[in-house]
Amino acid sequence: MRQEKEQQLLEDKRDLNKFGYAQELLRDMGGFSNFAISFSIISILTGAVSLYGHGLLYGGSGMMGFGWTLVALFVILIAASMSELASAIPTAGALYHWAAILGSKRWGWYTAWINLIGQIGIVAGIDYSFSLFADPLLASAFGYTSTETTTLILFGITLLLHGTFNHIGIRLVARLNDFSAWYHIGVVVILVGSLVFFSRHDLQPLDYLFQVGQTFSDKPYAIAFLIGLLQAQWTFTGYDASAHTIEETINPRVRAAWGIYTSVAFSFIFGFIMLAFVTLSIKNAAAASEAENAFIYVISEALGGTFGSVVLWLVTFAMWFCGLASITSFSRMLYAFSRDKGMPWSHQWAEISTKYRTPAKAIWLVIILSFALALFDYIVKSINPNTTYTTLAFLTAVSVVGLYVAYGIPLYLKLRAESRGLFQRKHYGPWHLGNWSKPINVLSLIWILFISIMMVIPPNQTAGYALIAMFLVLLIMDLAYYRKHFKGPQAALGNSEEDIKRQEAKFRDS
Amino acid sequence: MLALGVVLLLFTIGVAIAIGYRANESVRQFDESAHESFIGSQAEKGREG
Repeated sequence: MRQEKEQQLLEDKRDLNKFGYAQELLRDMGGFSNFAISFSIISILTGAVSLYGHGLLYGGSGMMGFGWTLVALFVILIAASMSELASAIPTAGALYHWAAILGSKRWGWYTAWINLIGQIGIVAGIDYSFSLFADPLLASAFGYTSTETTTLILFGITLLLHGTFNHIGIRLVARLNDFSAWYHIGVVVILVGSLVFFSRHDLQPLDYLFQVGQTFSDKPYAIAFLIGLLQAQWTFTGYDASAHTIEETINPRVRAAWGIYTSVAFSFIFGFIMLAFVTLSIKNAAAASEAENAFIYVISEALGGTFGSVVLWLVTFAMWFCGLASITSFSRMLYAFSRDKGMPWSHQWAEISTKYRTPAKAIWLVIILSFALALFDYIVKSINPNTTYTTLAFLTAVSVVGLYVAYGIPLYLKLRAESRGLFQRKHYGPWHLGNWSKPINVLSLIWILFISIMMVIPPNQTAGYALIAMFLVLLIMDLAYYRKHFKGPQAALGNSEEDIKRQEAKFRDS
Repeated sequence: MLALGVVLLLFTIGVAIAIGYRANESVRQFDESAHESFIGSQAEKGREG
């Protein structure tokens, strides 16, 4: 058994070496851990819960039946398309690396930065959600008043904790993610079991779950329904984590591909079960849609205030795990991009701690960038306290568009490379879709285009303006410097076997 | 709408299972000797040149 593992590790290292990269990160994750990191970032207890009110407000109860399932259908296609690429090109750069070698280094550079913008949004969004939930709970426990300042301080402390755990090592983080996957399932089982047991006589009829035409917003229903899709679409983000941790996964061409796919598929099933029972427990949808936290309002109405508080604590812990995993994913993406010198001071962020085998500096850069984004928002709100947008809606819209555009670019380039005869059947990894690949890729791209437009129309236009501004900054950076100086992952192919061995020797006995 | 919702739900589950089944088949039938690592058009052009 141990000999088999050693053999597999050697094969995985050789696969990585073919791209000119040394095995610097500790390869210790199994299939379940790879699944668990994406399942933890998707986190049905974070996205679907924190934006439950958004979904209900715009799409009514039908959002939970139709909206969730419709988004899941297309996300399953996107995940399958990404799994194919992860299996064919198994490097931690993932989206960026796929785009760079299927298209060109400049396609790769833009993909990396768009992915990076989405990742900042997702890390900040998740840990900010955690702080928004945890701060009032801690305030009532320790007798202080929860304000935007205390939320920001808690956000900073959370980031520091996540940074420390990630710095210490992938083994610890992987174990916590394994626990997190079971924890998510356990909480859904407790929640659904309690709702079935305690309010089985008060549940709405089943067709309430698929009731369309009722919105609690001032928009026409069709538009309101599309805006409400943000709830499901934001939940189904971050599953590229399985690809970003590919250089830490044993037998990644199969396991990481399954990790991406199954994390989405199981999140769809467990998320649907949870949303169905919570929605069927609604007693007053209009009041719930106006509540500060619609999810907790519905639970408290159905099960009582005490149980509502217990659920609130359980959900808050799930968000903590989600934030931990998202920093792991983001730091690996940053490490891989810096390894190819795509960022300012790249050599710093590409450095691997010889003691912990983690990209320690990249991890702390993630922490600083995420805190800076929330701090910026805090300052803007201090100057203009009458601002109407919510921080969470802004962060989630930025992350959805950033991540999905970054998911779409390599899919488009793969189709283009196939039509030009460059990417052929022999290049597919073990996990592929055969003849189904092309139609699934095309449908994925259509959905990405559609959803990217839907996420930035009013009332989320601020996210659209922010993304345009960020893109202009990228354009300036590209034209001013990187167009000439960025060599892309193609440069790593010039590394000799001796270079790679020398690099790997640094970590051998640590 | 209930019937339509159930159809959508079952269709989505069916698609997920079908893709999983198709991928599992490809993993089982994978032939390493016929596989070639894709390292990019530029690198391949370079090697040919």
